[in-house]
Amino acid sequence: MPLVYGKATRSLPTSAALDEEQVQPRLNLYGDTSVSIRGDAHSAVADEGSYYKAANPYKSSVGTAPAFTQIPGYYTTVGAAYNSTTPTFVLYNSASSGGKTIFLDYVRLIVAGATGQNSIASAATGRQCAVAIDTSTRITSTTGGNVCVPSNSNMSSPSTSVGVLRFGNVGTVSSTATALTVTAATGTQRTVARHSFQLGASASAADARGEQFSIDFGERSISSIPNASAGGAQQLWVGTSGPVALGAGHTLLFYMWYPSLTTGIMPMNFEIGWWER
Amino acid sequence: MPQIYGKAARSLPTAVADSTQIQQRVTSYGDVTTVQMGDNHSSLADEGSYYKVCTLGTGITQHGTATSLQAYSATLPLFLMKNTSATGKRLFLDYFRLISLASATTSSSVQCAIVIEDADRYSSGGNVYAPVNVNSSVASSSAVTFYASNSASSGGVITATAGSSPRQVLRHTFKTVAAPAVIVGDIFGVDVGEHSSQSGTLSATAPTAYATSTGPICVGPGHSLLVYLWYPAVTVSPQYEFEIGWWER
Repeated sequence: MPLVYGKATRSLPTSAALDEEQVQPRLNLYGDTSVSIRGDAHSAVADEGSYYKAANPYKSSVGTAPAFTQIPGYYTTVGAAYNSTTPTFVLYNSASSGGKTIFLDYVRLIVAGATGQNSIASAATGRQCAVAIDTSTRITSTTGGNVCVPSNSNMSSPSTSVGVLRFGNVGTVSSTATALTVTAATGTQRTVARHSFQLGASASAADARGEQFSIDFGERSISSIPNASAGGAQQLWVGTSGPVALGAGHTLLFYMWYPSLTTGIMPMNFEIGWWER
Repeated sequence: MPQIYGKAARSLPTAVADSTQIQQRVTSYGDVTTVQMGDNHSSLADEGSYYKVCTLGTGITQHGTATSLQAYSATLPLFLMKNTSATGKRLFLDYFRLISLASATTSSSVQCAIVIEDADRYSSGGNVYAPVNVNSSVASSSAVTFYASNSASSGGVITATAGSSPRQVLRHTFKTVAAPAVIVGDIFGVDVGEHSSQSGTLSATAPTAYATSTGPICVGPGHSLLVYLWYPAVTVSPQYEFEIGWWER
């Protein structure tokens, strides 16, 4: 059988080839291929047209410079405990069996709305979060939620996503008539992330407009940061987790709940990124 | 012997059209140039090699007799992971994160160590948590038996054997502060392997996330990994929810 050989070179070779010259691939003394990586991992998947993002529309009065207070966001129902049927958002992989897998990259949530547009009571003591994946199709015709069409991050790519994202409730500020509701968890649900974003004595401080909650998946850099409410000041709360891969026909569910809270409504803006291969 | 050649290109070459046959690009020194598709860990998830254990709403109480946690004890780990692979796979710990659910009264600091050993260190007790594959398309099971100490459960506290040839692969102090050193909302996290931890306080009195990183940790078949946390002067046991991730190859 033909064998492939490279040139073993531990130290930097003394002679550099000119462009267009033929050069043997470089190996180390153990036969491992020496590689030179071009660009970051996420930009490479964007380049081939595999990276998508979903964000809620930015709304403002026509002809008026947009102000943050004019963005109502999507309203989400939050409770005091984890409930498998009421996620903050759900992402469904609509690919046929054997099709593409969705790799979740990050989630960012931004508290939106004008003062008083949320109904979170002051009793909540923090913000808890979990992510689950399920081989079952947890969405139905009555799931509700705002359907958010993902955008390909590469303007030159016409490819469309296999991801179907539904976020928050559909309705007015105080309406919960069409709350995002999925079928109950079955034995196939797997919890793949668990985080505590924030502890604070008062939810009126915990939901300051402009506060951001973010989770990075896959590669990450753990940070040492305060995890307590900063009174009325907005903060960026970050979390990290290992990778999450969602197969064809499967469902990802993102949950948030507020211990000690009675059910309330929270307006959110969001940005979610993932790639599909 | 047959030799393979690539084309040296230090500057950006001219791009070809899709489906064109093209020679492999190398640097001026012969390094193969490459683009990485997705991050390293997601690639492991794609091939079905990545596993996690996450609690959801129900935490663990580390020990019913909290004074047992005032000093390091080789037989009282918080977590014990046994690699039972019969196919030669190794366990590569990636990270873990603890979310504090209760104050550990009178504790003055939070100490941590990780030990590995080329033997089964499990003796008795502990709650068994079934690892989940983070790729929903993959049904393959982990080769790791994962135990967590939980005095509030029927499994109780893990008792490990004393060990004969342990290797300590992590030593850290998460926090040093006036009692209680552990409060509700504190988060303790360790990043293993690739790492870029950032500086932060070690003595906050409000809930805080405490992070650290360490080099790689690898456990072979039949071997054990033990995670220890202890709290000088503690009289009430910490309680945690947790998330832990690793891959097997």
